[in-house]
Amino acid sequence: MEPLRVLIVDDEEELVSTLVERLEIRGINAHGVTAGKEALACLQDMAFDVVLLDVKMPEIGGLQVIQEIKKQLPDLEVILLTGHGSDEDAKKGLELGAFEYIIKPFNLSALIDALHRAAGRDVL
Amino acid sequence: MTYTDDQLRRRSLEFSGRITASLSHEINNVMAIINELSGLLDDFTFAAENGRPIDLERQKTTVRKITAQIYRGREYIQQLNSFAHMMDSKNQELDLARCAEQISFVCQRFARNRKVGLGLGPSGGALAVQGHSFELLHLMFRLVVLAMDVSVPDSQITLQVGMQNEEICITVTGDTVLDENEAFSKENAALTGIVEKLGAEVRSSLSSGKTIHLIAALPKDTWPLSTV
Repeated sequence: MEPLRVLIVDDEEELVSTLVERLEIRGINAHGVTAGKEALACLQDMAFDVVLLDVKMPEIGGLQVIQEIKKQLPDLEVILLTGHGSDEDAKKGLELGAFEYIIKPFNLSALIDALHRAAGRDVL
Repeated sequence: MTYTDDQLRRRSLEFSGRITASLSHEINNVMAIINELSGLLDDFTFAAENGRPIDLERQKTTVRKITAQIYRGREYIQQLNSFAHMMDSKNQELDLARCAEQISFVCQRFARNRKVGLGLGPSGGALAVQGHSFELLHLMFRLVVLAMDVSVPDSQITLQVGMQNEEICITVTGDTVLDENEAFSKENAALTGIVEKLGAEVRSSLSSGKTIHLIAALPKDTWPLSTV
């Protein structure tokens, strides 16, 4: 089976680079960007199975990005990352078509599990 | 427009909610980064246990990154703690320059979200005033938010405190595409409430056709004890 291709979008550069490395160690093809605009540009050039998207970002926030993604690539699944348990924005994200949302800090195994489910792959 | 105490109380709660939400968001991000970096160390250990060579430099770099995040988190926690203690502060002698530093720090996230820079103007050093720190911070916050509302993206907003024409002033400047009337018509009710409460006077002017100056002159009863 081809490795899972994941685009990580979060304005915290250290979080993105570390998560990319940890997912790569686990055989997932991860690519990270730190801004919504960059993510949308990236999606024009590269193919991904899932996008992991932070809700609160400067300039273009996660909710705007998911709207654009769903317009351009309606079948691409998006998992939202949020810092708050009762974040209204994350719930709005679900209404906009997000697969699910995950609260930071997260358990990596649970995240990988969600990535596989979002990509329609069986979780081992 | 005159504000009731209840309206001002609600605005004050909203101000304190926005600040605490922003700082707790930053602390949460720090926790998430530490969580991943410590997980990466765990990954290195697992790899070593399975016969992979240990890359000591990578381990040291990761530990240094964790330490840096802990210091970053400590700063946010100190600011949050300091802010929490201000809410019950009494009328006392304060350093207005220190208040400006605090607002500049806690508003960095709002500035990033609005795609503007926020910094402090040249400091004349400590500036002692008499007042409630929470109210003075609230006033500075509202001025900074107003400047953000009218500023163009990628511009710089500057917060400065000091004596101007024998008045103690809080000045916020930023580049705007609006004309003076349009920019100041954006003045929001929240600003008016705290201005009235403090008895301050707010003025605005435009220079070079694009730089808006929002100036709050504090009333004489907040002036330095030595000059009253």
